Amino acid sequence: MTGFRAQVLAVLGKDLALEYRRRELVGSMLVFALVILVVFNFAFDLRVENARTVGPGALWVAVFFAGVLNIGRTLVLEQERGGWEGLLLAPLEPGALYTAKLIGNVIFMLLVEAVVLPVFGALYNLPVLDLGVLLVLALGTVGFAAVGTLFAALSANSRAREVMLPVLIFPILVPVIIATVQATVDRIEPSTAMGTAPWAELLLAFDALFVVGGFLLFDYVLEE
Amino acid sequence: MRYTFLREVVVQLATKQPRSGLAAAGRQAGAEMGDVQRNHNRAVVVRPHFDAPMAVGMIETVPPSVEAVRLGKAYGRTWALRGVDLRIERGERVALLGPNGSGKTTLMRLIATLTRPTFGTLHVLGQDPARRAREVRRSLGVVAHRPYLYEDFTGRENLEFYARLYGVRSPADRYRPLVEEAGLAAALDRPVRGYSRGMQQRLALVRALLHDPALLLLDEPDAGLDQAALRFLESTIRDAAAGRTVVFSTHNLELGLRLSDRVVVLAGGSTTYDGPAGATTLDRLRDSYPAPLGANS
Repeated sequence: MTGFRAQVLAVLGKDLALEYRRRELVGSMLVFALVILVVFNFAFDLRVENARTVGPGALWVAVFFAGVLNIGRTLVLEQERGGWEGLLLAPLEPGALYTAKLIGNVIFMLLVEAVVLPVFGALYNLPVLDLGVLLVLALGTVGFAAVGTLFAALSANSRAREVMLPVLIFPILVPVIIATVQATVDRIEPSTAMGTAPWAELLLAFDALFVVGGFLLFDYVLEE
Repeated sequence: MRYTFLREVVVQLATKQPRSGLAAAGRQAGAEMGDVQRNHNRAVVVRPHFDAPMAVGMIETVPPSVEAVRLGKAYGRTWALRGVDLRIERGERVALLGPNGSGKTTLMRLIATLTRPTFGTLHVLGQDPARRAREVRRSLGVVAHRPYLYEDFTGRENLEFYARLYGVRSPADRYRPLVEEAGLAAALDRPVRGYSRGMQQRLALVRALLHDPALLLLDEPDAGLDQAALRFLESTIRDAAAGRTVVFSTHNLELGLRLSDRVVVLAGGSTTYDGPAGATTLDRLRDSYPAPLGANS
């Protein structure tokens, strides 16, 4: 059997190559996220003072909902094409499969965020291209993808999997949603919040918990 | 690996719970059914179980490819398998026959480690698939209803991807003769999306043979095949490497009888016939062939 790293690279390379050819997931995520930002921009009366507090919420709604689209579709596409069972039949470490899928999901989300963030900054007139915001974005994305990858596999055999997935993951993601929004607000408007550090620490702890937990439990999630 | 122990501890803690009522009921049902539904056409030979400790001086034998004892599988309240006993020796070519809903695919999926039995025991290549799935999978080649191929990849890319998953060294050296035999050499660099059903099935067979598996499982591999694909399938089964076990299911009784050493007929999740292919004829097989599930008979 190949080593752990070789297995991760094989599955990740396959996912990236397939997405490069289809341009299906990232494209649809991007359009979806941009539509949300534009709708929110028109929906709220965004004066400078409320843009700073409302804006980060709109950004994270766009990122998380686009992320659900991504995570739900990755497994559906695998299943529709029969590749999922092919992966399950291979002598893969479940942890390697989880790691590859997690990294793939993070990469797809970061690609979308790379476009969405400057557009968000321009639409809401906010200084988002800041190292602190980027760090929060990265931590929030990893936490979201860690939970999403695990639960996408869990809901893969369910009939209503595309409905089940958000129902399963959003209650668990509440700490991430609160922490990311609060941390982003704090980076944009430092006087309104209690500081970025506690939120970033919460995100870090959440990420560590779900990345390690997902890695260890993926074997049992894959079982019928 | 370092994390294996930690994972085992976490899972031991997480799974310490009473077994479900269904599984317990299933085991009970299996114990009862096993006595009445035991194969009538084959001598029952009692052999020591693999997990039994070997006595000093006992000759160690190669474990069979498949050993199922009172194997049962339920999906919800529907029983797909009801206490099947099956022992397949190394190198045997076994045809699994039976109408739709007889349990062929469920049995294949159990052997392929894709699902777990509700009751009974199963050993594949001497291993318990529930405990050592990865070791079993390394020695399995599976062709199912779906070809497990990525349509956006070319045939070559698909084979190289699976070769990496199975750790096949020099994959090109391994797949080149197989691809030529399958008649796919000219199409190897075309996306699989453009392949016909027969071509996809031939490529799926090459994929399944890529890592030289000890046990080849083919679930209705002849469905919808053209003549070229059928010829390749037949040669794959007939000329299986020495020691390789082939288990295939089919609705084509003639094909099953012609390509196998042994025929197993399933009906309603139980074995109704199990015997050497040479000991029966196509007409006798047709006469005793069970009606499909739900038919008025």
